[in-house]
Amino acid sequence: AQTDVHEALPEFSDQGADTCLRCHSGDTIEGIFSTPHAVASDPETPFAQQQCESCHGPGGDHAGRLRPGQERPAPLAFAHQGSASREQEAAICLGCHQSQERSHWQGSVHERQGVGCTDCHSVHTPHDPVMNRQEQAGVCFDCHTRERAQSLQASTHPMRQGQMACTECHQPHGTLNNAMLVRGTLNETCFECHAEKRGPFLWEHAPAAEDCASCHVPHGSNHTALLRRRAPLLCQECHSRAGHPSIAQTGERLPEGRPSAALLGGSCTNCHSQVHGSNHPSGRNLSR
Amino acid sequence: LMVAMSLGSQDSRAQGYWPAADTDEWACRLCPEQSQRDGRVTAGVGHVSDSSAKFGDYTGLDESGPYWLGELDVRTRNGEGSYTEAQVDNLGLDSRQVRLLYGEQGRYDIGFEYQQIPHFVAEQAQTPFLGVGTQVLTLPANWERASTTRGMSQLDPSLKRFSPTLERETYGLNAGARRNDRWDYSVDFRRTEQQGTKLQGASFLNTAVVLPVTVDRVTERMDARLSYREDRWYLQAAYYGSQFDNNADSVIWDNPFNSLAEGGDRGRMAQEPGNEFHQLTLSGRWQPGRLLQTSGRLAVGRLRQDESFLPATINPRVGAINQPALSLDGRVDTLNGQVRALIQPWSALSVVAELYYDDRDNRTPRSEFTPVRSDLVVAPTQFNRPYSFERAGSKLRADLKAGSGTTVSAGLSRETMERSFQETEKTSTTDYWGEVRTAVTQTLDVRLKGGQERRRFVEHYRPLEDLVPGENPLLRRYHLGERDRDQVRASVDYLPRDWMTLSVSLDYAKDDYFNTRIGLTEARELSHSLDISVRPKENLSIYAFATRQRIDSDQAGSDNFSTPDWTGHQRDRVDTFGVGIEREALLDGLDVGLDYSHSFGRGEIEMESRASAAPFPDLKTNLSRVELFARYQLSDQISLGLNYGYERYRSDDFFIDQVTPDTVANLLSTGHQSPRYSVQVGSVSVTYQFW
Repeated sequence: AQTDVHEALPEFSDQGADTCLRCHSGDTIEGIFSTPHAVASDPETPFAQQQCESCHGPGGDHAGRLRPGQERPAPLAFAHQGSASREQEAAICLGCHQSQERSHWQGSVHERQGVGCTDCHSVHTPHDPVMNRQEQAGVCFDCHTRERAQSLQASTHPMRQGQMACTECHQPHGTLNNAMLVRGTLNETCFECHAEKRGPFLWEHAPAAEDCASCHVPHGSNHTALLRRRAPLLCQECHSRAGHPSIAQTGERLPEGRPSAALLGGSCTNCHSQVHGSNHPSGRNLSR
Repeated sequence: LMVAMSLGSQDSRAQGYWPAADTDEWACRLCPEQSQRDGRVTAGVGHVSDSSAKFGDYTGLDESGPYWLGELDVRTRNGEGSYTEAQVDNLGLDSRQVRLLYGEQGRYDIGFEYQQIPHFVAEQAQTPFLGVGTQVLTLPANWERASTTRGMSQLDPSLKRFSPTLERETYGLNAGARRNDRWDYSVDFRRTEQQGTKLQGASFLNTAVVLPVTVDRVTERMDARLSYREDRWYLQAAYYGSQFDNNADSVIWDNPFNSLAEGGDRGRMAQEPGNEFHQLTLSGRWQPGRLLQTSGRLAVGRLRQDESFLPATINPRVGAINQPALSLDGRVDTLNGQVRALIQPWSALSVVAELYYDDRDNRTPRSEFTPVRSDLVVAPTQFNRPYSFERAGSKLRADLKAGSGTTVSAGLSRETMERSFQETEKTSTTDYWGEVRTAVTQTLDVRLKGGQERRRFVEHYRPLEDLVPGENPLLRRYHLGERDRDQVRASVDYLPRDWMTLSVSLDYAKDDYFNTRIGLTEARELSHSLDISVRPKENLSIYAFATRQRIDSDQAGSDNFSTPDWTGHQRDRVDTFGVGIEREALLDGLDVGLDYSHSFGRGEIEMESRASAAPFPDLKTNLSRVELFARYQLSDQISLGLNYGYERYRSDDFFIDQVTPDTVANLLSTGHQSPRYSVQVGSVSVTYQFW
């Protein structure tokens, strides 16, 4: 099959990059010479191999003479109207880059949805925005519009401020878990920065040990501490014991009525403030 | 032609995707010489118009006045492939970041990273406590205790303002090396110190106080990886270690209220205990050919926590309490793994099968502890519940290319979850979905996905018997309860011109907890968005977006521990929109841009009970921000930057608004209010660029 492929391909250009650069110039093209891809002393880089045609494919017909009226054939890959599919373009990149975190690309969500490498990466510039913590979220938000809206809400992780990149939690080249998380599970990913909540505690709060997303939304919420909903209703989704946990807190408990510590301030957490667990021998009800 | 060049028939060789070319005559004479160094250095001064803790959250721009602007992004390299990179951001602010990297391309690299993140917890909090910043919070010597906050005669004169803030500082060192194009080694070490003051509630039975609690935490993490690759397979062994130490392991505070029992004038609350987690992971990929591509991961971990217990009470009147252990000897063994196989029997069909397993095996000893309730009285003994769970599942999905621009997909998954010490020992979830992606025309892509998920009890739901008083037997905890979830997702991408894109998307999910009478009964979430991106000229780009998100939930409760007698409805609406324009070379050497975004959120909480319930005000957050920039190229190397930003934030939050330290009789709060600010930020900077 390999021989057939070679026979079907156009020829390479006569002089490689020199052929290309006679027509293609400017910062958006020549920026590649300020990137690792153009370090010819590294034998694995494109410019130590077939130069421009390492990625764009054999360009003999694109650079060749045209018959009168003939339209110039596009380069095979990474070009407007190029004939390579995104899957094939990804294979070109993976030819060199399919190790480390890219080893689970095949079958990943982005791969299935037809996302190509150059949808996120800018190769002909030394400043690839998606590789920069301060600019990365802007690239991801082009498609992830709901997350972009959430990043403007009252409680968020510091993505908008450039202090946190999406890739600190997600591995966009694919993992084998849900949501392409960098660690094996959701909680392991959260504990990367919030290790104090990892426990194990003497008195654990079962949903906290199991799934942070039981109570929190990661990308933004209008409720404090990235909570899904407000306490006390959030807590009353799971707690109904006789006495104060089961009582409806209504507008009568506002400051102008009979203000209640079970509603105002931190609601339930005014007393039960160890919601992620307590290691105090007297902390069974998560208040010590 | 390209179909013949099937992906799977190609070697994933480091030497590239295409066949080898005869490059003997390829001299690259026209190639610009790789510069020895390039980069830019920016220095300037900015000014913040008003002080605001909320505006300064994560930015460090919390105080009015001037600040220094310093940024650097520099690279050097030589012909042998050695390179150095240095990047500095926000040098003059508490949100500074530094990144240094040195290496030889294709052989090794070593790096250093520093990051500082300021986080502001609340605006203008007040407390009567002395010792803020320490682990012992005392009341002034003349403090007069009372049974209610209003009765605390020394409260007002004792109140002092403080700003609860947390700061993270992370130092990182990393190194990586490659050998023979086969072996990769890397090690990454990070140390994060988190210090500051948080707000935390603390109680004595039915009275509570919000305390300024000292935070002094250190987390050290290390990733070490070793990997080997061949043409058709890849294997990586990795170690991950994370150690958390808490230098402020507890807080002691004076009870501002009348003591409810002798000796109950002081309490002690634990903070998070130190812990450590170690994990070994083996992951890899095996691609024998086009037909089959597989990858997998297996991770074995152990979590330990064995910090000494605090005494059950610091109340000397209670007497000595013997506990079964001096520390928890907590141990959780984790095992999680996934396997994926991608099968492509022919180019139009791909089938993905996945298996996954996640086990949290809590080996912590179970013992009978004697608690002291609120540092006041000895309570009945209780056994701890070391929760374990085991999740196992499988997924199957198929993508069929049914024509040149259409893909039809379907999937089915099944998961079982087993839990210990909870109301149901086992639940089962089945999920099935279908999706169509089609290019209706060359300029119009449509995607439609719909699915259903069903969660059911495998073992009956039984209220826990050792919980006294017990939960209402009609309760179904929401993360356990039987649930039907229906989901729809749709999107349309329209590209009427090469330079114009319009996208519309919609997501809808409805959760029906059909078997729940007390607890969450229904939840719905709808979000839809519109995006327009236009680039009519090479030097002009314009975008606009609008997103609406609605999150609704219904739940029921019972005041009198019987059948439902109240319902609560929470409805959140968030509308977000933004526009932006960037024009390069507006005048000779002048680039300008503008970004505007607005987010308006409104939350309604409506309670219905037998008595007509007084309504709650709406929760509101309203953020508007404008950013303008102009960059003028004075010469090839020097440019002048002018930035202006205006941000306006308004919020109404009835949970804290008008709640002063003595508003609630049995809650001594910090009186902080929901944030609101209008802040302008301007800066002037000079950038020196070289290459």
